[in-house]
Amino acid sequence: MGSRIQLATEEILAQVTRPDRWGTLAVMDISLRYRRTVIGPLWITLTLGATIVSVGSVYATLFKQDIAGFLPLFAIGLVVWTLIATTLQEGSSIFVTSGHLIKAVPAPLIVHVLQMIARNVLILAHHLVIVVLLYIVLPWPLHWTMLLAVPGLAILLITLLGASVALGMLCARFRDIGSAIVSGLQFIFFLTPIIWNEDAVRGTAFHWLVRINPFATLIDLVRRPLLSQPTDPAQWLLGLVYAAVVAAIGIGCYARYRHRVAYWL
Amino acid sequence: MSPIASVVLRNVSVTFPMLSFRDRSLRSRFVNAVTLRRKPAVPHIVSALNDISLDIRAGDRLAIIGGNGAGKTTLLRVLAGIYHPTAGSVDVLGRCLSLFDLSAGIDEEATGYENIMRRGLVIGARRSEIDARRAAIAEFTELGDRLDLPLRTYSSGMMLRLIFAVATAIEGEIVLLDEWIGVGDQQFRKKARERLDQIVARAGILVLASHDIDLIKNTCNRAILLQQGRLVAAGTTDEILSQYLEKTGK
Repeated sequence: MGSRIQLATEEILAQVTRPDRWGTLAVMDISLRYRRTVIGPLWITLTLGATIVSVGSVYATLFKQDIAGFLPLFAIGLVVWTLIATTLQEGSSIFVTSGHLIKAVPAPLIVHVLQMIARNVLILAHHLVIVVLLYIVLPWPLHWTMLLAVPGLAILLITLLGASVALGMLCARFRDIGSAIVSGLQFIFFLTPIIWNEDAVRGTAFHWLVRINPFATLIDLVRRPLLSQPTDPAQWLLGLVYAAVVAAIGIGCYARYRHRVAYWL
Repeated sequence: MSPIASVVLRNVSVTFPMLSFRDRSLRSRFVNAVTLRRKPAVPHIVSALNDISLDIRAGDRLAIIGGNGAGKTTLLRVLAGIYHPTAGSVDVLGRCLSLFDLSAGIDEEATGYENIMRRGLVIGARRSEIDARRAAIAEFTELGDRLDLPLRTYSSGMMLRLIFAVATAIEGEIVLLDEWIGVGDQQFRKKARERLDQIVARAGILVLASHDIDLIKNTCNRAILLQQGRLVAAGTTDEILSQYLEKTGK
């Protein structure tokens, strides 16, 4: 088993460090979206921007929050959540949707997952326009710690990679899980401080639920640096633990089942 | 001809889980477990290949002969590395060029040139490799300026030309063919035939699964006969073909 894990890890790393295939294909995927409509993925950005401004203002009023403080928090939270939710959704169907390709051409399975994640990161880059625009309208202080958003994003992406591999394999085998994941994500969305501020529940019994919510931690590791807010070292540690555990599960599934997936399709 | 190509199969077996709708449902499994309902232990397993040992050496032109469902395509997929056998070992030396399902990786919205890149990357070529062959591929398709247009504007014949040109542009020592590829109009068909002949001539190893007796006679020097996933005979093309024809009563 030990050598199988090692082989799987080597295969994954060999592909991660060779973006020739998945990187180029991801860029081509995005450019195809521009082909279909002139502004391409910016359509989603536009919808997201409209949601942020409208829902954000309503909630800020409802919860009697300072709009200048709440809107950036909500915007970044929703942008990062969109990355998480789309990646997990597409990840859970990744091997089924790439089924034709998997059965026609031999290739390490991980390239399909990497291409999907690269594509979603490129879409995230489009959405960051909203954050930049917000910054211009409602500037918040900038601090060098903003750069910590980069390792924060790295932790998030490693987690998403591991989760996509595991969920993708599970959903290739059991086809009724995909829809459960979609509704589960909606549920998690409301339990995660995106549309509401964590401060609002501080001191209540509900707060511990937020503390142990991995999504809350992972979003915070990107969001708080971008807002120039200090991040608790415990949060970083927790984020690293989540990434390590999920990556380990992903590698375990990859080692055990990567040669079986073609048979399930 | 590349002398290093070789394929060694030792006791290769492939079993498929036949997943019914129920097996595919985690919920019904869960319900069964909770209600302690035991399903009758019917193994939903189909054995597609059974204990196959095979040596293919450089210079071999091997035909896989057998009826429908004998395991020809499965064996090709095992050779290509798409299916990893459930038992036994496969050792392949040399680069495999699998010429089946040529349309995999093609996107109808993308232009001809973009699809050259897409398909090339998908079959494992490097970007630089594809860039270097772009002009040659484009020339072979004879599609000219149409290559700048999205694939959905192509006629099916044009599309086949493009797909064929890309698929055959990358070289491999081991060529796997599931039926001979016939594409396009008379003139292009001739050209495709020449290209395929060239590839076959250059390849160290050719494995061809086909029902076309004449084609097999003209192309292959060795043959194996598959029956329900078992290798029932191996030998020269003529021997095996006559055995096969006898069995099928023709």
